Amino acid sequence: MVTQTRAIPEEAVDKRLSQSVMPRPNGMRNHDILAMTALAFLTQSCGELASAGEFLAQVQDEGISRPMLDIQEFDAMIARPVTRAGLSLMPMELSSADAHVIETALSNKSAKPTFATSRLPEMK
Amino acid sequence: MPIKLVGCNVAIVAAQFNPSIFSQLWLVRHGIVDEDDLLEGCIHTDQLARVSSKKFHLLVIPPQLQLVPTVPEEDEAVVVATKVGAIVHLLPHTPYVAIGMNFNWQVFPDSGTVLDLAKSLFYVPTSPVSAAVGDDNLGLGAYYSRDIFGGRMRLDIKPRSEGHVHADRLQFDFNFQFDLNQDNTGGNIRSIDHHLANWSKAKQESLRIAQAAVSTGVSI
Repeated sequence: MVTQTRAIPEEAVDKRLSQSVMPRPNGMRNHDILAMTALAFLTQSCGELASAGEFLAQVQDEGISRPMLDIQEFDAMIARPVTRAGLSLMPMELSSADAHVIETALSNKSAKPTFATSRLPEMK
Repeated sequence: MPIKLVGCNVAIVAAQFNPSIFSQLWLVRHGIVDEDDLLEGCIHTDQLARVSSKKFHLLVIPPQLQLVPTVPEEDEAVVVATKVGAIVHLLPHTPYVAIGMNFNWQVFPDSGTVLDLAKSLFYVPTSPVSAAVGDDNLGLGAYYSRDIFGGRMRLDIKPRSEGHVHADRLQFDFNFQFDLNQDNTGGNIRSIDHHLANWSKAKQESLRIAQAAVSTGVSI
């Protein structure tokens, strides 16, 4: 395929915006997942991060570690207001199966998921 | 014959950008944009990031990053080199594929129609294609490409209209493309820096070519 480096057409922008708000197959939207995972992460893991940086957060689900969030520029100051923290956290490409695991885990009060964090490899 | 620039930008194509990275916070913290320079109209989603500032507009979708400088012409090259350069240095593991520079010029005929101008520049009466197409309400343009500055220049010329039924100008759409070799040792970053330095030369070259239409001296 020939690489094109011409200006991004308006249609491409419209398409990406549409995709950003399209419901996930299980009915969750990206921002639903983002808000839920940000909140859960903050309540369980806030304070574990050393300082600002890029981190990979993983959710432990029945012994299986799943990449969940790529956290940019996370620090305690930003983390305090949950809404601001939500802006600082972003979901990785989640399959519908992963989204379902997170949704189930976060909504099950008796079996909260365990979060683990590690710096992204390129930041080591 | 008036000529005006109606668009210019630099585009970086990668196997995958992550638009979510390009938050206002990230851009401010890394000195890519001054906090006071941010303008309204910014959009941040996981599929698209659009940032408006006093010095440039930035648009990122997964396959492409695009920066439009909005500073006076004499400052454009610095903004392009420092802002795009800073971004690629901050994201060294992004698999960059190519860099492009786009310049869009419009040439307005002093008199006569845009078809008269296009015919004077491109029409070949003896061409079998011309004969086959015919001339009933004809529109006419051209495509050129050539190697230059270590990359490839592509030029599309087409009649354009803006709020008019009939085209009243010729638009020259230039694309200077520099393909990057896959390299895990930082060579791509250095190549991007090298090619970004071609901004002023590429713009001047595009103007020189567009001006050739102005200076044909053809009586219309």
